[in-house]
Amino acid sequence: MATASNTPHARILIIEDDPPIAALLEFMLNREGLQVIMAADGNQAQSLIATLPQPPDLVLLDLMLPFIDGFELLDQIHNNPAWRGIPAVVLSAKSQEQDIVRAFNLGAADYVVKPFQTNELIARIRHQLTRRRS
Amino acid sequence: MEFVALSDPSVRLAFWLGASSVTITLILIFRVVMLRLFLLRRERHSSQFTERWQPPLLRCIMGDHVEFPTLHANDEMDLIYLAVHFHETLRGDAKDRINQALQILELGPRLRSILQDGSLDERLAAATALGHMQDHLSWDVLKSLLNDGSSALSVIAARSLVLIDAEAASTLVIPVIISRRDWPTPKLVTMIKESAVLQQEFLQQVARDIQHRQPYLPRMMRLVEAIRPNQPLPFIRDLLNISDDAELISAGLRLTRDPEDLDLIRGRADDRHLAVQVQVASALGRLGTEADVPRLIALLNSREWWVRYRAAQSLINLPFLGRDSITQIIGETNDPFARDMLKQVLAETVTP
Repeated sequence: MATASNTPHARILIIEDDPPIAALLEFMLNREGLQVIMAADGNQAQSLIATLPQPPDLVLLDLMLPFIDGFELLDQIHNNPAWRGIPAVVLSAKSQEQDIVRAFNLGAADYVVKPFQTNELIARIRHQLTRRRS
Repeated sequence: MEFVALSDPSVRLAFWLGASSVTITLILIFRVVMLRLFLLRRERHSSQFTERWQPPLLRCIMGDHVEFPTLHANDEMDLIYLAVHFHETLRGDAKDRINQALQILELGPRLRSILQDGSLDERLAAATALGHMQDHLSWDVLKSLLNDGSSALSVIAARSLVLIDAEAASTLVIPVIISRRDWPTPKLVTMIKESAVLQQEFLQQVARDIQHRQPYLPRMMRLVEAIRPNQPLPFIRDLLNISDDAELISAGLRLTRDPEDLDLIRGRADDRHLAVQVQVASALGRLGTEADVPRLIALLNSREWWVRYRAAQSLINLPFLGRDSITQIIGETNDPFARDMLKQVLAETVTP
């Protein structure tokens, strides 16, 4: 089982516009020893993608976001040379096959549907971080 | 300088108009200030609430032992809304822990009271929370709400009954699904999809309705399509055998997933309704064999654009037809519209 020691100081960019859920995700990941950067909407996320001096180790993003949606952000991540290899895990209430397929086609590494299980989400994030480092 | 006397009617009129305008302006300013103050107070309360309640609730959700602060009356509804928000976003252990928190805070009786006496928003939140808590004590009230005038409240009550006891709720809820056309389809679909028991009962009801040719069947079939059940639907065969309603046949064709249904699909290829032909073309694309290629070519010559389009899509997506075969079909087709359609769909499906 992967533990925090497998992925020391990993930085996660959380893009989530729902304040209680954003707080929960931040709390969950901090508790796992991961560093968290928060973006509350598509504009903030876009600005971070353009300006962060060092890309994060993983992006956890919602799809339904104000200003710029998650699909567009996935596309931007995929087309940014510095961010291209960063695993993006989608966490969305959109559960239709076409949305999931579209997210994977745009480069998502994993897709978790809301309502979600906290431990499962952590395990999936750990798995992506371990894969990235190996 | 001479002053005009106030007794002059036009001056009096101007004076009162001015006075009224000033008064209305002052009242409006007062209202704006009050609204702003109210908003600031709410924002301050909301941020105080978040500061006080969010951290312990988050720790509780993650399984930590938590001492909750004293719950004041003015925080009660905010806490219920927050708990419901987490209920709807989480499942598994995390959801169980929210329920434990609500029980530790002894919110069950309060929620049951809000369910009967609260405002509509409060009742919706209470009904949702009680459902997630699987609170059997609220069963009778929720049952009575199935026939409430508010469609939002009645459908939430139905969902909560299903969350509490899906088997017992199915016999109550399915007749109401049939009778209440005001229930919003997305809510209904969510409710049916999240309970395997209700979904099974609902599909059995649809099978019975097909046998009895119930007049509300088109609506039920729209629901079946929206639910997209991941299981064989033998009643589709009955529907395609006995129905002569274009809408029902189209719905049945859209739901065919079994190669054993091929003969029934083929039997509808010459249907007089173009809408049915569109669905035949799509279904043959999903299930068809090499024997269906001539049928699809025939549909490609239809006068209806959508029939031609679906037939072209199906031909191009058939796994056993390569690009050469499609080029050959284009070359052998006399109808210029059919040729153009194949070329168009071919261009659409070219991967970069």
